[in-house]
Amino acid sequence: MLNFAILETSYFWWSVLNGLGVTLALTAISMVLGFVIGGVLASMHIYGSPAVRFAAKAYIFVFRGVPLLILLFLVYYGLPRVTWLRGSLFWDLVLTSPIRTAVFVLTINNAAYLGEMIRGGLRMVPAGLLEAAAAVGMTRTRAFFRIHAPLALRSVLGNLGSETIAVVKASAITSVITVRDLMGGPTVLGKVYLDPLTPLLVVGIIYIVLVQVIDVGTKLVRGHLALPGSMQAHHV
Amino acid sequence: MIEIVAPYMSFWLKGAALTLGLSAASFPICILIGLTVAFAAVSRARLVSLAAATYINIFRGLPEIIVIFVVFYGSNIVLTTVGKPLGFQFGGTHPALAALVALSVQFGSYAAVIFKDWMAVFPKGYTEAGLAIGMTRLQIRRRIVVPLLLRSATPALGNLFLVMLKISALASLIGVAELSRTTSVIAGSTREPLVCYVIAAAMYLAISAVSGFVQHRFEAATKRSL
Repeated sequence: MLNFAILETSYFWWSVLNGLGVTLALTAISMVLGFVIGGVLASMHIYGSPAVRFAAKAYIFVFRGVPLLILLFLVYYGLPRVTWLRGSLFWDLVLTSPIRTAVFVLTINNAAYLGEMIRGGLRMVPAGLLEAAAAVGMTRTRAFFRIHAPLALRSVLGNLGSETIAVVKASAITSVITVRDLMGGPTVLGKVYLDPLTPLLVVGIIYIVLVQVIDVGTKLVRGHLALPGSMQAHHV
Repeated sequence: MIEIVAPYMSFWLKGAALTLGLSAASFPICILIGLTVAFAAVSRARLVSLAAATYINIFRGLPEIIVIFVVFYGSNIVLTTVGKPLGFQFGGTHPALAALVALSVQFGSYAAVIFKDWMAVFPKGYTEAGLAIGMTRLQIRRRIVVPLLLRSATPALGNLFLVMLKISALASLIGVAELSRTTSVIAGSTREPLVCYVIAAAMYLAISAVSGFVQHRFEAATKRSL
């Protein structure tokens, strides 16, 4: 029953390499786009009117509460049934390929988590520092970009690392809508070789290494950017 | 559109009940594993703490979907291979059992991290007080450390439960008839995937909201008793 014939084929290792690229791309794109949308959500929450704030809260509640698997199925199988979407930019941009659907779903899901994280970071900056910025005559925009945002970013750096790890792991779920990522590509080959287990074990090890690399990277960046004194980043 | 899926409602609710049941069954096991691994991680025996750290790092890095598949296929293959020479026929792992094991083992590592973080800030005075009145180390752990640890970690554990509810959707991929699985079946037979998945999403939100509410009440109660 157990044989490792699949490991001797070059197809397998190419699919692993390809899949690794897809996983890294999925993670990077949905982190960047998610951060932008998350930033918008956080500022809606902090500066918005009650209605705007409610909208941000509702978004975060919905996309943090629904499993990624259901979201993927909803967008991949459900949305193409909406006839008036046909021919729209959204249709051409997202619904025409599994991988772009995956990017879209990972992004809107990730944005909810990042939005909460950014809001927490912005609130963690002591009011005195912002008052000091106003006292030396900075405009609100300048104070935001020079004082508020950099300090908030530093304080959430650790969370940003764990969120990246969460996205790497979550991106494996996109294999269910036929995305050939690190999980999807090799396991499809595993089905061809009637050996479902070996590919899983191989890519499992790669995921573990990948997560350790992200961990070490986050620690290095945090150490590099750490400020002496009171604004020590919270360990999470 | 709703009329088409309405007859399936009882089937759906059964799925929702299984989703809740699966998480409710594996959560106590995951807490037990978490406590054990956390105590092992702070153990003075190098080998024990190394084993605990390895366990935590492995499951921190593995996607849940892989763990579920490995437990399901792996247990099948191992038990079939072991069973053949011993002369018994193995009929295949029950998917729900595989999902239960996979979720417990994986989330046990997450719980261990939560407990370990709390142990790092556990006030030394409590254990010293226990020693002063002549308690053994085991008694201190059982009567002082564990109850306080569980209480202070309640918010984090509540969040962990909500994460588990969502991750348990992956059990549908190995054939456990929980909420996601029943939704896929209904979507297939009614050819209304959009309506079905929207309803499933609403059901998950409802389950999360109710669990969140219970957690909130529970937290308030533990705070009062502290």
